[in-house]
Amino acid sequence: MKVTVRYFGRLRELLATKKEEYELPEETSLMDLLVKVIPERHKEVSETWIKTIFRTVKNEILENKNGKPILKDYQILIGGRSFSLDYTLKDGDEVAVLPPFGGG
Amino acid sequence: MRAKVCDRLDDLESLIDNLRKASDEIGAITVFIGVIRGVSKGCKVKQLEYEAHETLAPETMQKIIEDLKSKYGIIDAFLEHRAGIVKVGEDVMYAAVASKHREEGFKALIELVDRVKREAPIWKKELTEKGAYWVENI
Repeated sequence: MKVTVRYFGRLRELLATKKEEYELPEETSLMDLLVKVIPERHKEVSETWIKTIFRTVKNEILENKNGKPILKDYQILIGGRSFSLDYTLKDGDEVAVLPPFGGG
Repeated sequence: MRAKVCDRLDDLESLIDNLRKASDEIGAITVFIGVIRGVSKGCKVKQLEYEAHETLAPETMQKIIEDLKSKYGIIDAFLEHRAGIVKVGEDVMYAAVASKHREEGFKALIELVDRVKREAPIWKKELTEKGAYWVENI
């Protein structure tokens, strides 16, 4: 299945792209995309990516009581709506990774 | 109602004139102009770079205006925010509220600006004499 990911602000700069497509296996979760797939494609900045969007301690992603990674103040929207990291991606999904806002 | 992200702001007088036409019950128009400051945290600012989610930003701004109409009973409002490079001293945002009385106008305008800063998917990078960094309204 094909999924599009859009980046803004500091993430756009970090990954040197506004938007990219991923060909993913079925049953790939949003968490898989953020924790594994994107860092795999952007190996040279993978550590910075992880530390930028997730809470980490000693380079390890912190998890909540349910064993899920804890995002910093980043919003992950799919089609303009927020989903949990457990969400199973679907063909055609557009994932927007939004850093903390700074307008005005 | 009108909310827009744009490379160049529309003429402010024209925007206010259009707002005035919304109703003959308007007794107050309160206006905010966001201007790029030349100093930030003691550093000289050279310019700012704004980036926005092209659909979510105006949708969010529009939703905030709708909320404020319900909350304060204001008659109408507009908000325009620039994207791209904005130099020191230039206007980056226009917001205005039309209301029957000044009390709800002032309150709605403050909340409009505060909420846009917190909720609209817009990002700002400051280029200062000491370097460039992304500003976060957390």
